[in-house]
Amino acid sequence: MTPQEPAVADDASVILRSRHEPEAFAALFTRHSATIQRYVTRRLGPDAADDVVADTFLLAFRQRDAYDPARANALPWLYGIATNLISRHRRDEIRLYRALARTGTDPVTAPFTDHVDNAVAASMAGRQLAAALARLPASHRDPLLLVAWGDLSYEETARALGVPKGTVRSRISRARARLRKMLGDIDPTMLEEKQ
Amino acid sequence: MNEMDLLTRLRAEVPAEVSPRAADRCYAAFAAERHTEPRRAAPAAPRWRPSSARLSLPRLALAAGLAAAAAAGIVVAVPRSPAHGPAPLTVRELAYRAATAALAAPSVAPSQWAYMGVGHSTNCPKGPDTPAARSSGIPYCSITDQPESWQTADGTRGAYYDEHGHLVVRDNPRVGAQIAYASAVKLPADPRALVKYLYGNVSRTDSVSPPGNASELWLGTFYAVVGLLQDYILPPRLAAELFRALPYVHGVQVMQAAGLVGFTWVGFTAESRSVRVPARTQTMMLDPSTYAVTGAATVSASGRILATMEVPAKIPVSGPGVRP
Repeated sequence: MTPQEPAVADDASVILRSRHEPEAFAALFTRHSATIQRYVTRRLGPDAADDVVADTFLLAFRQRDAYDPARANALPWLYGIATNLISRHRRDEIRLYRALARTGTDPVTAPFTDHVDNAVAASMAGRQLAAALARLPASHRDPLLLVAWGDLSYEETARALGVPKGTVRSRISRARARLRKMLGDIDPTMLEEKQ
Repeated sequence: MNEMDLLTRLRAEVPAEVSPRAADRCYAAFAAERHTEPRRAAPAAPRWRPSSARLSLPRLALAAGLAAAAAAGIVVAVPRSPAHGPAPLTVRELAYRAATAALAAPSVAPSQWAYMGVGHSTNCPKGPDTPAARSSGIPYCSITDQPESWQTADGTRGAYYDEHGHLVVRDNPRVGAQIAYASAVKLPADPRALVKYLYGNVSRTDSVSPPGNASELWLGTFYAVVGLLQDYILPPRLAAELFRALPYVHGVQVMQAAGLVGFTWVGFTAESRSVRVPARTQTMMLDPSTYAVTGAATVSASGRILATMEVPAKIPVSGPGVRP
């Protein structure tokens, strides 16, 4: 007797199957939920993330008939849905960046770290970055964080946000310039040590 | 280090771990749609236990199935390709489907009587696994009828008709579950805490060989969950939590099989690696369409049945001796 072998179907196959076999969509959740949860948690904190992640997959589930089966990897699609949902919590997201910038203690990472580790977030770089992220317009912050935290390529980011690839490139370029400007006064060697 | 490197490291300590709350909502929604959407799937697989009015035929079928399976030397066929069958399930997915089904069950009082019907158990300690048995085509399996019986939801009272047709009502007829019903309903509601408690309980009460052997303790934890689900009519919420706890029991896997004495089933398995007996797999079988517990089986490492036990559905009735 051999245990059931793990699924090898790509995301598109899973979604196609789920159109007539809804439970099959659970495979997509199993595959990507932890990744999406981490991304959303980094932006909104653990409390809001639970609902946003669940809503992301439930929305995806309801919209599965519209999914383009030519896209084997559904992660950009899921990130796009999650980003739209995150936009409803923009004030909370900015409040958390500002809290880190102001106090040096990050309410987002506090539940996952001990007191000493969390104190590392008090580095100047972390605080400056948080301040910069709070000031970025959402249209720039979203592509920047999809690349930095979601590990998406520019093309995948463009697909997630429904904008041309060139737009993503220019927005990220401007966002990075802004971050560099805010971090400009910090000694790079100090950044290395503190981070 | 540039600004992107710094940004990548910001909040990097956040773990990639989905919350049980989000998982609960999603798995329940995926499973629920199955019941609200017109399906184009194949017809439901036959139930393990047919109605009491057709007992003689399935008994023959069970015997014939066992004989054929043993003669062929093939008992379990695990579908490896998902191309035309149902999607492969993970432990978590199956657990949440079963939990969703359990939540839909009616809640009954501990003293509620339930009809247990007639079941069968088979024992093939060495028949199908011996070359002589296979070459002769004669399975050394015994089939035992479990007599028609009744029990209360909490298992404290049971009833049956004796050979003279008199109803016999007795106390404490079942001792299978390690945890009494009264204690079970007080178990932790969180699946992880539930597993932690059951594992600790097994550690305290079971003698495993070698002592403290973790895999045997986990197997004992699996047995504890199976025993509770099989022996009682639990409050739906507790039954659901027990299913949800299974993904946290180490070593538990999902098995989808066709051909096990003629029945299609899906179930949870855990492998025993005791030093006292050869490796074998213990299974809890579920009906693939209703996810109700329908039986248990012990299967050898080579994939042949050693023993099976049917778990008849417990149907609430108005009192002992009353048939539904």
